[in-house]
Amino acid sequence: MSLSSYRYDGSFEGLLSAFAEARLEDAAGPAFSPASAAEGGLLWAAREVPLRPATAAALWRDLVSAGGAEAGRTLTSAWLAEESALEGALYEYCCLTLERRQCLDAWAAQPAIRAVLAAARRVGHEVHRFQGILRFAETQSGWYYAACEPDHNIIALLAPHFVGRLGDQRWAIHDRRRDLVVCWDGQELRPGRAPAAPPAGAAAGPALSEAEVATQSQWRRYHRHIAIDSRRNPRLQRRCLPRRYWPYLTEMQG
Amino acid sequence: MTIDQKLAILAESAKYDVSCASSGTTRSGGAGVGSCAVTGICHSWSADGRCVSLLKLLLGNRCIYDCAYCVNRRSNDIPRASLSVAEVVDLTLRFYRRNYIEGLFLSSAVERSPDDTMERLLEVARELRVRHAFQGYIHLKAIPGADPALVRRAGAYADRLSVNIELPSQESLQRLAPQKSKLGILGPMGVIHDGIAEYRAEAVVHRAAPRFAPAGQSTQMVVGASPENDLQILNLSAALYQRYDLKRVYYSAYVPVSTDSRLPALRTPPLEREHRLYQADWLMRLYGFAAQELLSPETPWLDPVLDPKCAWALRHPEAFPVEVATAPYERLLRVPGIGMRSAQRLCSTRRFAALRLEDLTRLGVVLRRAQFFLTVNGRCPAAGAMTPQRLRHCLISGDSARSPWWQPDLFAWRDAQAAPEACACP
Repeated sequence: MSLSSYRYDGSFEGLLSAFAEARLEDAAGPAFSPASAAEGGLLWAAREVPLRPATAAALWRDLVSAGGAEAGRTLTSAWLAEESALEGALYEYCCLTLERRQCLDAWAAQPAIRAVLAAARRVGHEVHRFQGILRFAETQSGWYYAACEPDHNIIALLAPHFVGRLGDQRWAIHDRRRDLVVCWDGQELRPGRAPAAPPAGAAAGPALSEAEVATQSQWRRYHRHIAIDSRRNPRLQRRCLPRRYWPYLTEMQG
Repeated sequence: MTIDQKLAILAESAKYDVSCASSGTTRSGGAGVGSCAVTGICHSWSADGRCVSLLKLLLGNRCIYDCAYCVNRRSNDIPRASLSVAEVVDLTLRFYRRNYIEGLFLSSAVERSPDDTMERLLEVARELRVRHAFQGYIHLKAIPGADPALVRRAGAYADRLSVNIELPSQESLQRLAPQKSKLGILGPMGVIHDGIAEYRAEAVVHRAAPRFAPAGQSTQMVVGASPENDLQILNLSAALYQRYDLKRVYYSAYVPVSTDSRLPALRTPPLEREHRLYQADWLMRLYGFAAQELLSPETPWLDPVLDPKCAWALRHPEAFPVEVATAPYERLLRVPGIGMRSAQRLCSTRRFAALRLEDLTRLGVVLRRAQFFLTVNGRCPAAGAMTPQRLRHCLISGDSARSPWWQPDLFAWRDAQAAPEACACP
């Protein structure tokens, strides 16, 4: 047994590679940090673990055979929360699942499981929230464009919902915080990186179609008139729909 | 009149309909646009804090009826408009494609006759479903007095149907909405109930059975415009849930929209009462409480300052304490401060390891309330014995039993006058 600290390349596969290494060495309470994190604060030097796709895939298979697809979903969702210092809990979650050969999500009183579940739940909540508050705008090229700034890295989890719902139109979801895009051209879902430098004048998004401008103003009008004046409750409104989402909501502009 | 103006007028007229639920059904695939999520999705929140999930519209607000509580009553001087079928369909699809809405909630005033109105509502739903293969959510109002055959046909297109019961008793209905009758309202409700029951029975046998309002039926009543007490209202709701298998009964605090002498003069809508009724309604639908447990003919009003579950617990010290390590789910649900989610978590996590007091908060139990009513492995988290009065105060103010304010010696004089000890804990 050894006290160890591992450094991985920042990807999910990289993290799984580091987990496999730590399990091999039977490390006690190992620490994991992404390569991007600042060095220091550690009493012992972190060891670089390179990305090993085959090792990562093997660990993933083991995990899913032990805990089922549900455990796999919990783990990936928690990872997409992009919360620092969650790696330790993710590691313990993996080890416990492999040890007990079952999905342990019901064991909510175990600290590591609770932490992983809570992160996965935050991601799930945000996906659900954006299923509602994402706004598409029709561009002059006929594509529908939606920009957002989610707290967690959710657009990969969000996209399948819109494939099922708006599958007959072409759309793109743009995570402006991470500069990630998912595009649907009517046939295929393509994830990618947004162009680092958008063309001049595109800061506010692409140019809108004529129908779009009219529809947006109608939606704003509807949204204003559907509120009951004698029940006005802006605090409740902000609690349900925090202000940080407003910049991307059509109805909150103008 | 432009479509923008009509939209404003008809949204104004539709906004007193409470339901905005888009849950209870799944739809997907097909050649057209749309899907339904079983959980329902909220898309926005308006300035009154209510969620916006469906495009809530009236097809028209010209009405032959003159119901005193209704903003669209014939004698009210408001701008009138009506939308064509094509306009509603177009608006719905344009909003839907931009992810503004989960679907359409369409109702209408009765401009000529109930049948004529019902047919036009039906026409919108059919256009959306058949011509545009729309798979989003559709909630249609069934118009009281309409031909049962039309209501039946609506069920084939709509996810949810609703008939508003309007007021909690026949007498109030007679007084405030003399042109409507209890039978006219319950008639379509029964038709819908039978349609849903047939569909469910058939769906068991073959999965491709034609759908009939798969997300069920709901209703709504105005609270505070007539003299009924809370017990009468809850009894009515219980009967509706039982007899018509409703998904939801919605309560709408009466918003003063008229100076009619038959109506109470309210400055603001009775929102607190509406809130308590919803709490009691949840207890009946999901927590296994009966209306008679929450209220009695001697105390027919819900406590305005204490939620109905706490109030029930205070009246039933014999049901407590509940041992969280062993109690079945149904008993956990009756503990104030334990909801459905935390009760489920308690049940599932205790299979893995023994529960400790510090786990409870992490599992979502609100100890501030629950501490007086439970034990963890035989130990009670709240300190000392309690009188019902003290307990009531603690629950209302949120004071902990350990708060110095409630040091026994400080208020010993009060205990002397208080009712006999009925401690929630051993």
